[in-house]
Amino acid sequence: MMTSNPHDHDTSDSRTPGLGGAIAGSLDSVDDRASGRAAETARDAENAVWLDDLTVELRLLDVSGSDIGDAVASTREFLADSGARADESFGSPQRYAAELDLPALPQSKKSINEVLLTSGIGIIGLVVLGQTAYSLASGDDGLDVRVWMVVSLGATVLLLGLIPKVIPVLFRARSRPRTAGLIVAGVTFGGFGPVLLSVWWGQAVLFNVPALPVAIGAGILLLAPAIWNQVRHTLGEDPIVDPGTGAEPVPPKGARFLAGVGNWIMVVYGAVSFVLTLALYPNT
Amino acid sequence: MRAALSLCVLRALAPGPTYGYAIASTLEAAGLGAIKGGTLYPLLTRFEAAGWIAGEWRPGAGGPGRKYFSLTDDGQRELADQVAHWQLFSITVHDHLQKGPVES
Repeated sequence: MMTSNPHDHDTSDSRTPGLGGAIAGSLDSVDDRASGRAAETARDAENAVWLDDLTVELRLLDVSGSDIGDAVASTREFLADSGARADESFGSPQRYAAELDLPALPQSKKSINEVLLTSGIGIIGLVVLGQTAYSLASGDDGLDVRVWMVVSLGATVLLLGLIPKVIPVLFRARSRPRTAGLIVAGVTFGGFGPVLLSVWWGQAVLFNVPALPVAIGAGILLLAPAIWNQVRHTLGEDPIVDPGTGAEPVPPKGARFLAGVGNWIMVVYGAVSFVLTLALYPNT
Repeated sequence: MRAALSLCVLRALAPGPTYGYAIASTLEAAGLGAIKGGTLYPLLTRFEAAGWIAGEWRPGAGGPGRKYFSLTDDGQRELADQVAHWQLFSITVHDHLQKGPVES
């Protein structure tokens, strides 16, 4: 049977067989109401987590923010009306998101590649800038390109290639710590190969390049993605809109701060470490 | 069963705009059993994408709003077509069950 609307429940009881019975009945009723409220609160909390998971699953399917807002609000409405548990009424968030079959954003594939490309360029810029800082600080105009640098570059490119596959799996495995642990362990052990290669032959010099032009180029590589991302973020936001109120949910201040810092953190880190290396390197 | 449920959901929308839980309650009251949200909303989403129904959010009294669905003109035509097909199918099956296989 379908669960009836919890707001329609009649909790009154006219059977009062005496004062003692009335007091006992009243205490029982208070206990029942308290345990009922506790169960309702627990269910609401579970449903809120389920709705968050649904949001993530729809994002992973590249559904637009307005469609996600509509789907999540519709689900929330049905749960509030029925008093049902989300997993009982809608199944798993992953399956329900797929069954809704909402249209994906046409540019989503492009945007994933764009994120990977800009992140990769930024990381390469950061690493190369750091190496040129050592050369310049030690008064050396040339930068020795060593095996470990090339290995690191290759590992970065490989990692960026794996990210689109790994992130959805990690998102879905976050409620299963064992699976998430196995994935992280696999990636970690996989990373030992380049590390060992770098330890054994890492210092072997492959070729030499002028340090200053490479530093300038690396600085541009580091700055360009942050500027590009900032422009794209400002122009191309796709917020999740709550159709019930028509308002865009305002992200918490912490989240907005983190979003801004996240974009520029590599630039700040690169600039600070470059300046500190030049200032504090012992050979200067 | 899914085809029958689709038809019943469209029929539940015929009297006028209504919302998800009310549709599920109507179907349950009609003896079709408890329809879960995970069954109902993918159907409604498909109908909306096909242009058979239109959704409209209406603010709730002090609470979250509700999405009301209503049949469009295309939806009313689709309902009439599906009802006609279902009645033909139902008569055919009924006749077969009553009379058994036709002897050649």
